[in-house]
Amino acid sequence: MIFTIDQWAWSNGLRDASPRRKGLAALFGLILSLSFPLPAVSATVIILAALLLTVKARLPLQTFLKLMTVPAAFLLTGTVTIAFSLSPVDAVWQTSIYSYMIGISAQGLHEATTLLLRSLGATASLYFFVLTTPMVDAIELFNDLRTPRILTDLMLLTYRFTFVLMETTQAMITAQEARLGYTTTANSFRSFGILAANLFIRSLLRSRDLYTALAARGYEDELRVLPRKRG
Amino acid sequence: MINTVNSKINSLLEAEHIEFAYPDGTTGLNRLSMTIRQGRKVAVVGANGSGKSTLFLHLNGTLKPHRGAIRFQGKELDYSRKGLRELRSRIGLVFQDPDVQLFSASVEQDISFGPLNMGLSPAEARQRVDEALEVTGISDLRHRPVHGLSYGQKKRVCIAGIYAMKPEVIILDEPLAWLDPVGAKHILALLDRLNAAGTTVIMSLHQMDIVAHWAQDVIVLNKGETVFEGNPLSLFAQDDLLHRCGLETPWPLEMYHDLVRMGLLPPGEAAPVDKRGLLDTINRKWCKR
Ligand SMILES: Nc1ncnc2c1ncn2[C@@H]1O[C@H](COP(=O)(O)OP(=O)(O)O)[C@@H](O)[C@H]1O
Ligand SMILES: [Mg+2]
Repeated sequence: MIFTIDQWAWSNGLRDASPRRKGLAALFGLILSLSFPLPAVSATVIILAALLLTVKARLPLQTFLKLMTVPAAFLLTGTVTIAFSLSPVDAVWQTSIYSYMIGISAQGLHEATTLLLRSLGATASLYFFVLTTPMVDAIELFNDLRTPRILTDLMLLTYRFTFVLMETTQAMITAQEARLGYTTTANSFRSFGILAANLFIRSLLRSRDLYTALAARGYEDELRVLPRKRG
Repeated sequence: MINTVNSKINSLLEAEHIEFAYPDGTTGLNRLSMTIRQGRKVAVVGANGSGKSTLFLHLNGTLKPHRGAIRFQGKELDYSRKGLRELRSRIGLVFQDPDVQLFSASVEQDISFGPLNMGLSPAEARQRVDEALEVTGISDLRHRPVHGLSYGQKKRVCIAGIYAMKPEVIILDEPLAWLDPVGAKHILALLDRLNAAGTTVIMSLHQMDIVAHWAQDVIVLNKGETVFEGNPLSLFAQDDLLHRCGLETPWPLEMYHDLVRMGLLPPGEAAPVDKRGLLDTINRKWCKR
């Protein structure tokens, strides 16, 4: 899922729009859905986000819906419990278990829907930002907002080396599989241990090499880079 | 045995009896001496572990020799913060593994790093980035994240990152490793253009036929020592030396020897080391009218 988001962030139609404006739009949607407990407001935010993403950013609606189902599944399990209550007065639906009456009250249903929509509105707003903004632009925005330099420098490196680590891990697993590393449970445990130990050592060596390479280009205390040229 | 053909004329970068051992005790360099002349195309060759990368890390001041001296334009290297900053803006080093060098996921950002560190203004740096993208032929990668690039593309981004600093000397550690023949050709052409513009180019590589037609000077390392310094012609005349250092003979030279053995070419002539030389020799024998 992270990789789907990353790919779209680098290839969507709003990629080169100002990160500030995209950030503001997302923030606006977030605040709207969180501060107005009205299903209509949240629904509007979700629809707006969907429209912007599909029309302006040219993201397939299906991709957006698929991404939305991930948090929706979590939210649903959480909100369902709110809808149910014991012996509801204004029951929409109820059933008896032994001597108890359990059902969904009209008010409970309303509360659950509102909560679900508010959360989805907030989620859609954030999706709008992360799906349209490459990570390096987001980091640039954090820099503009005076985030301590050490944090944004770390973000830049973390983002880049997440992928390097992923590739290394994948290559090592493939190599281990080619030599039957994961054929039995015992083999799997051993291979996994070796993998973890090696990744750790490699990461240490890599960080040393990274420092050498940065120093070769004049690194002293800050990762000074130009913003990406947009447009 | 050290063959030294060059004198101190035009000497740009010199190492004199430098010794270096890694913290675990492995010998990196063993009383190594060499001279690099201004404006030349220099190949550094030697088996794996012969000390090529270690030497390069000495030339940009990353490693400091335990004994001996390194001189740039006649002056010993200055290892102070300021001295290193100046040295590294004049001597650029392209590392072998692009994933070590590329620290930003944005191609443009990564290339802008060196120029900004040199104190250029954002506008000047932007211009350098554009030019570097253009020269290395990767303008179309501008908006692609680094993790989506092929190995050869990443390698070019690394070269662009150094090119953008416009160093007087550019050192490349095995820039051709893992590249397909077309990719290798592009990089060689790019290096030739840099060299034509006055940059001294030093690179390590393993393909002897490329050494034969590309390099003007060759330095052969073996176990941390310089065992040869001179032009490719005189290197390839020394079969025993090549053999001892685990190096191959370029194919045109082998072909020439075979043709001589078959009696198709006369022995005793100056042996050709590259394709063009071989063709000329064949031409002289068989096509004269
Ligand atoms: N970080 C290191 N720690 C210990 N030994 C090293 C390290 N890097 C290189 N060496 C050793 O130093 C010698 C020279 O290596 P290197 O300069 O990498 O050779 P080359 O680049 O010609 O393959 C080798 O014996 C190698 O094993
Ligand atoms: Mg090496």
